[in-house]
Amino acid sequence: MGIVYLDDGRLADQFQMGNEPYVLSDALVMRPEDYEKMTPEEIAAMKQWRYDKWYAIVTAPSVEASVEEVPADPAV
Amino acid sequence: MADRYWVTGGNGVWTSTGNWSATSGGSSGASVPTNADNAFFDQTATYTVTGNATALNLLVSAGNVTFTLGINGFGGTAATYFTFNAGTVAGFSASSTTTFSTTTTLVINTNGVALTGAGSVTFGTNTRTGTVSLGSDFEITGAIASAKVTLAYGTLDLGSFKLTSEGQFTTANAVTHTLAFGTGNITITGTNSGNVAWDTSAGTNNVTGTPTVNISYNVAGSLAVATQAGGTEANSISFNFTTGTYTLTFLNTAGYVARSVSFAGFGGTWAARTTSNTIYGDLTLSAVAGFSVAASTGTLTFGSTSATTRTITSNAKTFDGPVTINGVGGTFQLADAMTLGATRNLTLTNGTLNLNNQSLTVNAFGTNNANIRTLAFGATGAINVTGTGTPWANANTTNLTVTGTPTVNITNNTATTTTITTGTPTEAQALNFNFTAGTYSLVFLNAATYAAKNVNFTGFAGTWVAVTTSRTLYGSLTLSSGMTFGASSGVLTFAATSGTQVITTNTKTLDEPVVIDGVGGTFQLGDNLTMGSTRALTLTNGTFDGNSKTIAGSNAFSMVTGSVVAKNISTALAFAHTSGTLTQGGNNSFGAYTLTAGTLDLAGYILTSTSFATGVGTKNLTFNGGTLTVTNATTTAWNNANPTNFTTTAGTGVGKISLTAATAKTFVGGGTTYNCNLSNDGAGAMTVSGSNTFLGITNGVSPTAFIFTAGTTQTITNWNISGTSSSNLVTITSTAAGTAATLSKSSGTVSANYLSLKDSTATGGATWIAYNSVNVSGNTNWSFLASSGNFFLLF
Repeated sequence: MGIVYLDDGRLADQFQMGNEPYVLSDALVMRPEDYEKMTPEEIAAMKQWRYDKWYAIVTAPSVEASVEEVPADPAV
Repeated sequence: MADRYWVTGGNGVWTSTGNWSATSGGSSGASVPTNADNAFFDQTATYTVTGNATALNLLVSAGNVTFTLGINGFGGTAATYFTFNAGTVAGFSASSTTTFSTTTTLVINTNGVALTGAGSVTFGTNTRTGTVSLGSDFEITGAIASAKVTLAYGTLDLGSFKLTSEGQFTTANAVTHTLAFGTGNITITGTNSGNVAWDTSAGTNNVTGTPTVNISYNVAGSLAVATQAGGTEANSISFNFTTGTYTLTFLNTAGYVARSVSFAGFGGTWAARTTSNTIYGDLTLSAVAGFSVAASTGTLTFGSTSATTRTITSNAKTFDGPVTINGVGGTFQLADAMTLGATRNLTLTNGTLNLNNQSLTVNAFGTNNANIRTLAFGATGAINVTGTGTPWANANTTNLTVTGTPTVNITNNTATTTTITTGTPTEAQALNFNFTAGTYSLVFLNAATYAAKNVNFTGFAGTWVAVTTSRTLYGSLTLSSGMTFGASSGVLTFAATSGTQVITTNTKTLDEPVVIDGVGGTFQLGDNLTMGSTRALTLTNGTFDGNSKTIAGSNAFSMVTGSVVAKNISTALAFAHTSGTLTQGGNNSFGAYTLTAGTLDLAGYILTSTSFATGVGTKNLTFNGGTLTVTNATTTAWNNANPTNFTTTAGTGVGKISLTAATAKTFVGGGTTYNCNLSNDGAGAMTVSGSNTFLGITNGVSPTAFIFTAGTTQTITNWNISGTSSSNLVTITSTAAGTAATLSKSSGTVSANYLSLKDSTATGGATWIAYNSVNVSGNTNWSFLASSGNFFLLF
């Protein structure tokens, strides 16, 4: 975890949040100049917001996964 | 072809002969240039040109000219230039169509002067299908409803320049066009809702260079972008949606494709899609709060076959549509966490999906084919599967490569039956599955040799449905206390070949035959293990670490083949060692231990069993300084019932067989050579049958007793039996009063203390002295002395 730079010049502040089994591995991806404008509090809030949103999704009632939607792929 | 020179003093209308001369600065009256003639503006005056303009080539080299034109046709056969020298044109507008065309290459260099007005621009005609090339940035402004800029025929070559169109860029006609981007780009601006900002659906488009199109509509309402049906990766174009809050119709016609797509800066909605479409490059969703991807049923395929890694950036936005990764040889990498809509699935068909340590959350995941594909998790990447039904479909693992720490979280929290299809992965391909919630019936590892790596049920309160087929775990198993483990007849094999795998049952009975079979792997109990009462626990290969937890319940605990290192086993279960090599890696405790065939290597540790017996077979007991402790007080505590082909090996150090019962017990020696000491370490008398050979015989407690079968001979190298005082004598006698048993030692002096000897014949060549001992009767060749007298005080 930490800040890495992508090939296209963007910055990725990679982070993990949550407790097992609901751990989100995510990154704030933006231009370095935009990232530098953010305060640590804003960055922390953005990460927390992402986690909260994701946690709601993974703990929401599940939906039937149609077998037809995951077919045996034809060989290419 | 003629040259015509604009002269001032006329009415300023292009089509008036009063403005044209045959020579520079000459008299007017020359014919108006046609598309076969060159038009030159080289006067230093300031003036305005109006009307409908036509010329083969055009050059403004001096003056300060304002063009306010109508319908214009620039270019013609072999046209090569349309040039405004720097600072010579104050304005350039057209109220109707302006066409640029050539049969060769026409370079438009306005030196940054924009073409304004309500007119449109067309590149190429049906008879002039050459290349129109930019020699400078070219901005075409003035919004109109449609067809603002059209590539009708031929090639548009941007070079390194930017073409800006206010409103729209289209292709026209069912012909092949070429869009040569070079390092330039096309930017579409606008403020009108409802426009089609880009429409290259007509004809066939060859695309070269780095094809970048910026859609910079600052508008709400709606906007459409139409790419080419049946487009290929090579001819795909990258789109950047940089502004606006509109609803965008994009990639919503079957076969429409794009290269990279970026929504950075866009605050609108990518409208619902119903068709299958392909992106061959990167996808960047917008971080702008208002951006969203509408619920879509059309599959979006990432189809790059390039060696260049394609990046998917979600910016915390849910991609509410099905996704397929299908690029032969392509790599698709997450820049951040990616989440699909609640009903949306992701299918890996071809190429590499690199999670890049990020979380991927989907309704269902499938990679069920034999194509070459890779799932790269990284150290922290995970796939979270939220659906029910069959949310994981991976029956076919052929040509699937898995890298990193492959974590799959099944987060279904319903009671709906759920099937996880793993296929038959190798250890390297096997995935970790965490079942985090739910009360459903789980169909998992339900076909022959289906396998997984670590499986963790913490949080799961449903039932792992019983199976009748074998299954394999290449990692750890953690059952949850709230789940139900379906009684299964299929064998569960722990087969990891490296690392330490932990089996934690959380009080659940593991009601399934279990085999430990991983060469190089270590399998450790995390807590007490209770097997089903009809289930076998078999050690075959690897290190089994009982971790001092209790093993119970199994009807057959055994080793039948292979090579096992066993340590810290604690069980009252009998252990049947019928073949293979069991080497101790620590102390172990069993119920009855039967060695039928194979090798038991104590390896310096203590093996405790209630009893020990030999079976019919070739077997070896190696000590390497270890101790085999037998605790039972029975007539078969040590029962070498099948001494044939039974050998013992001393190895390094001095081993020991220790019988510890406090009451009478029997060592059925079977006439075997024991390359160890035999020790009576319990107060109860030890009866020794058979004429055996020992490295030594000793006692760990006193008083105690040795009873040798009358008429037998025990051959020893070392004698270490002694009591500790006159009230703690060690009794040595035979099983029949008046009939001696023989003790034989080939050389040296036996110096025993505090013995009570009866019916014992000492022989073999050694000198036998019993100090402070009682000569009861029937002893031969023993010398009874008052005290050893061999005390030395050393300084």
